[in-house]
Amino acid sequence: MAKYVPRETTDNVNVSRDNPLGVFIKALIGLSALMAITFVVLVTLSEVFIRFMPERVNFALAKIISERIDTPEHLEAERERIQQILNQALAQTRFEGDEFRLEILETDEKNAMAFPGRTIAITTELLKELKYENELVMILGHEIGHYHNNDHLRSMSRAGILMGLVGLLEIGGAGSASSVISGTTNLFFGQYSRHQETMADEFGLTVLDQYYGHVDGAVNTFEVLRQANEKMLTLNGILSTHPITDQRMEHLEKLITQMELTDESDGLIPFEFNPEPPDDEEPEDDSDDEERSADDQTA
Amino acid sequence: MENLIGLIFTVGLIVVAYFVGKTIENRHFEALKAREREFLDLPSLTTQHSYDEEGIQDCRLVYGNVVISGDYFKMVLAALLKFFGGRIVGYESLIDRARREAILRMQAEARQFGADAVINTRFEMSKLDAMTQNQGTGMFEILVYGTAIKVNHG
Repeated sequence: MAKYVPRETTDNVNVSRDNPLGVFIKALIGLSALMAITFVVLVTLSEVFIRFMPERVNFALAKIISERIDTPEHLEAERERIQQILNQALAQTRFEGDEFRLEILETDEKNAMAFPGRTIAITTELLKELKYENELVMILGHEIGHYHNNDHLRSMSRAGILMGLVGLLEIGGAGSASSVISGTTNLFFGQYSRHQETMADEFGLTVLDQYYGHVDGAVNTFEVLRQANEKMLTLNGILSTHPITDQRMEHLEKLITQMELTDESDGLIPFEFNPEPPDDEEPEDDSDDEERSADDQTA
Repeated sequence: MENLIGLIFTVGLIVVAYFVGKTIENRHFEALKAREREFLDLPSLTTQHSYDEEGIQDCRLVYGNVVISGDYFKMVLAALLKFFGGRIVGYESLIDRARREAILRMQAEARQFGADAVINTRFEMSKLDAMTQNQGTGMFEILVYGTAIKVNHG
């Protein structure tokens, strides 16, 4: 047998010399690019489908989705009041005579949404913030603008495609990387979402002008929305898919000047959201109120 | 918006995991080199028949085992590379460290026994994630075992 001579190994052949960080960046860019290209192709195909989608598909979607969104019973009177305002706003657009449903969602979030199937939802928290009917019409006009541009279907199809691609990554064994990939892909399309919001703002402005003959309160609506958003997240300006509130307001002011629209403050119509208390709410006695008031002060 | 916050959080975690993991790995490699120098005079061989029976004074089983897991960076890197296939760069250093560490532990046991060499050295590797139903963290056990022998020097 050969004699054993102790020798120290100086080189490690079992570990690649490639820098893992470099490999990571290359792989991330490669996979993100692949996903982005696939995403663009599928989104383009869905855009074609949405453009030529028959009206009956819209109604089928309405049935599926709207059944899941329902106004609480105690808000029904307010819903009907706002539905009338929505109908009048719709009369200013190409949707005149079409049936749109307004729903009120009871949540702490201040938001309004356009759901597929011609259902516009507005939250109680946002309604409480509004001081003028003009602001409500501006918000409803913005949401109608999303229908005008088919944004609700586009958003839904994009979300569906992204979910599908992330699912494929999971199946392909790259599940741990899927959040990075989907986040990176989203970055590319955040700008597109902001463009959609700007277009809807412009449409809302037109609705407001045709509704009242002036656009009083249009810019102020964003002040209400800004307060709502800033309370939710201070990084809103950087991360939100909505354009930064100031930019939206500036854009709207510029548009009002360009289109020579009338924007005074004397055409504002007061609005107050008056919800009835829920049926199951028990009347509180005075002693509870006093205790709560004391708690609030100490908080 | 939630996706973007998630992305920033995930990227932050990956960056922290990379630098912390890299520092720990470099220190471990340095420690491995130093300890391997200490055991240069204790050969660990895969051969089965190195000595005549009469030449062996004593023998016993010795083993060393290590449980090791990849950091978050390595896990995401492996997930990315798995999509395209090929060498999983991040795990190569991980497995190398684990094997060398297990050999050193086995040699330490052999040294305590007073062995002159370890023969018939074998490696076993098992994935512990399968036991815990967790497929994501890349947790492995490496077991190195062999026969420690004391040679008749007279």
